[in-house]
Amino acid sequence: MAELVVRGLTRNYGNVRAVDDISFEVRDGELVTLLGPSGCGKSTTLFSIAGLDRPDSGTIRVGSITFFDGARGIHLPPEHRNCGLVFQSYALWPHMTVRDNVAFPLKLRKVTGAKARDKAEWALCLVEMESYGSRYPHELSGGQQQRVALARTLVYEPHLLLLDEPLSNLDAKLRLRARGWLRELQTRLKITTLYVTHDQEEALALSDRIAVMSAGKIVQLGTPREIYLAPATPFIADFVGHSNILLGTPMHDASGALGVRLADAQVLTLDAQPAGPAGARLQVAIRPEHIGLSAGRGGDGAQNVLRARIIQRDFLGTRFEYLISIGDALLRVTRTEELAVGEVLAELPKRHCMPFWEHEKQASPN
Amino acid sequence: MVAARPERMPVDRAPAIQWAVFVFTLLLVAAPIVVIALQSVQSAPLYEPTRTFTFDSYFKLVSNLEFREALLNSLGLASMATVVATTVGVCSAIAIARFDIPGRAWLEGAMLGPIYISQLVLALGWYVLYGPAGYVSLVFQQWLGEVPWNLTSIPGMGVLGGLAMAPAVMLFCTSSLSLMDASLEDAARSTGASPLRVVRSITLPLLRPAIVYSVLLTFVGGLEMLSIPLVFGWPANLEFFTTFLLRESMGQSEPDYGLLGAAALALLVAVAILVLIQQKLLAKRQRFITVRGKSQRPKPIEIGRWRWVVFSAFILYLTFTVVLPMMALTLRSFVQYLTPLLSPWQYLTLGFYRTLLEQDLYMRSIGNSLVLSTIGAAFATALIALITAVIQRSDFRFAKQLEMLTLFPRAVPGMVAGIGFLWVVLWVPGLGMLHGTLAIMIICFTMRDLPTAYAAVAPSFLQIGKEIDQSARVAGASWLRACLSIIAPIAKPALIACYLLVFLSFFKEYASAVFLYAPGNEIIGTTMLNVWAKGEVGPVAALSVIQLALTLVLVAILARFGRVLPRAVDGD
Repeated sequence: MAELVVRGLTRNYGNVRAVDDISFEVRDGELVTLLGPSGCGKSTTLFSIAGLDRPDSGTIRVGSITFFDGARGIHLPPEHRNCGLVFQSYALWPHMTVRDNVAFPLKLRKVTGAKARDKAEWALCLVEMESYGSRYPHELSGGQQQRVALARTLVYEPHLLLLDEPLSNLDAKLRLRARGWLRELQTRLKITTLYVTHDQEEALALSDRIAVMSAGKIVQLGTPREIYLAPATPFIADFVGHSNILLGTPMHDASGALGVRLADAQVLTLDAQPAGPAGARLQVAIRPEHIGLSAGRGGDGAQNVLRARIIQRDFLGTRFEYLISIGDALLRVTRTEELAVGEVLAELPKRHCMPFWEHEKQASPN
Repeated sequence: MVAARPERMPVDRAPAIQWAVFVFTLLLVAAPIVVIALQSVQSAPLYEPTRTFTFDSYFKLVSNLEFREALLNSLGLASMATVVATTVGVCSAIAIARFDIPGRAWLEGAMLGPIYISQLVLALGWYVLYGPAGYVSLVFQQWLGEVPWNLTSIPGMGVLGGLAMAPAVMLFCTSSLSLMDASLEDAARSTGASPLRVVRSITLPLLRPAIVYSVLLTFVGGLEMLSIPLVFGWPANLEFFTTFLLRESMGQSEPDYGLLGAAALALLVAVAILVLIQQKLLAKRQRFITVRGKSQRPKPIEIGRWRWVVFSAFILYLTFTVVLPMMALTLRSFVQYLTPLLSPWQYLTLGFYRTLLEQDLYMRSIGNSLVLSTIGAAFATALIALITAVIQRSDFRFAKQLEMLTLFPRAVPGMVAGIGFLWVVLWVPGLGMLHGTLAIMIICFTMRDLPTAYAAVAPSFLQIGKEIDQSARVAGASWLRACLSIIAPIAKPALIACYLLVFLSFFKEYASAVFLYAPGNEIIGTTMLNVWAKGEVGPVAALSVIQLALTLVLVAILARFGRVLPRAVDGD
């Protein structure tokens, strides 16, 4: 086992810079997730580390082995990197049984006989698939295929485990189970793991640390708690937690506290200070579950109670999802109580309002 | 604990293998053409030490009266053949694909079947029935006092050439039709169009690119056709492009190499230009194909009682163009004389087959053909698997160029390839030992069949998801290992199909072999030509029957490997 160090990785496709000078580390035994929307460069990064894609510049190193060094012209072919990669589609070899699939990497490493059999059995047991050894991949369910794919990569004890959206082809219930199981296995084996996904919930639940990517760059790198509670940019606040964004001009109230005057002249007071240099306008992010709604007058102690209007209401079983307007801004709100469409009071508690100065360019990674 | 990979910088052998495949393919395709081109601008044969650069051969060629006549005849034959093949092929493709004719699947198979039969065997069958002294011709002679057709004329041979190439046209139109969205035709029906109107206003216009392509395909086929010019034209002293090449190189003890080179190159360039136009049209074809990838089977148009009329037409056509000629050829191999004047039963004989068994030449030819096809098809299949792997399963820089190279032999007529490879082994130092061997024939045939084999293998290589071999790479397999252990087994059905297809093609090849065989290394095709030229019909018929029988068996096996196949075949 070893740590993964990526420095200044850059990959261009024609004029498009898919990966733009990114650097990060995955410590020994750690699970780091690359999280971002499709096209943000996370899979390109993963494939560059696996050796299936050749970056234009930068370095990739695992332990003492340099996988790639643009300046020195080093590009280790994938078969010499001893990485394990689980594909989104699992990529099980259809002409081999489960056992042959798992044993093939051993065959490549000249491990034969009883030793190879034991090893394959060990890997299949690890994923609880030992009774399916003689089946063919097409005879397995999606979840079972996923576990075989994992066994196939764990069998040769790779230095580094790479997972490319391995849960995205499973149905919602199974995904939840597989997630917990994957986490448990990773912790038990203490294998250095890089996980790629666009699913924020998955990333929050699984990761030791998350690197949020956007347009080829890492925009924030931190623990799930940091990413969720203190997003560095409105984009992250939106991508991790589906925040609503309100836009207004900064102002100070009588007590000197910072506030935002919205387009319709209503005022939102804040208790947090936005980071970075001041801009002309302020963006305030707030998550759907943090906005309170009430039909009558707000309680006296309530802060930031604004006039709003419910435009749409969807019943989602355990909760309601509302679309409300405050001025000309549209916000999504999830509540358990049922309210009628029409005028309403919306409470945006100070402590949940995350202010950002509005800048033309995104904040740099921390 | 599994051992980690060694720490030293490992050597990646994949690029070396990929380059080797590229260079080999380049040599295979380019060598014969370069030699021909070089010879055509030299004053003396390439083996002479003193020679100069000159365009004399081209001037000589243009002023050569025989060549001009041959050129005109070839153009005439190609034009006529194009009209016939396109008409027959397009009509039968539409009828079978779109009308509710009884036994459509069976008819389609029967109509496409002749693709696998050597054109030479077809021509011989037709000659035995409809030639100047053919069985049917003589029957008409007795009734009417004269034969109402003359197949030893340019139009007559054009018709035969067209019939020989009609299955290829039909194949192409059928695959085009199956890609067409049937709901377009249904929509026309529901707005009130009659079935015929639908064909005229919807089907035919949508099929236009396929038809234009077929026209070029058959025109090229007509230009490079050797079988019919040889069987029907030779006795009538009609000279064609291909027979001109054959006579110029074989007839004289000291052929005019420059002239030959110029003529061969002229044919090559003409065909190459036509093929280039084809490819341009084919690239645009996608625009005409409406919705792709829909697996709904188009419902046939009901044409009422007409279905039986059309069915009968097909049966008649098949009877007179394929079934009777092949039966006549078979019968001819068992009788001393085949003429309406004498009852064949009195002249029944197994003598021709005994001749085949007794005379060394025949057994040798059959044996050589079998050996050549068995080994050659394996060689060609292995090569094409490697080439396809480099084109589609690697990040080789010149993959696109390699694919163009692989498809290029479509523009190289068989005879030109034959002359080219002959000169290569004669004049390239160190290759002399290949002269007159089966090996050089295998190499030449392989070059000719690269496009066909690629078409048979490429789709199934393409279907395999990229991550299937990527996962093998990451798991520790080298590029070659991933190709051998993962890709090849998955694509096995296509590789087997490719092997059988190439086997059939090698087994019936003759045009390029004419230049490459030597006494002792005859194959069925060359022996048939030689013995036919001596006027001995019986043994030739017997040889044809053996070739036919083996072909039938292999086609039956091939049919099991399914749908991918016929699409890959491209005429003779």
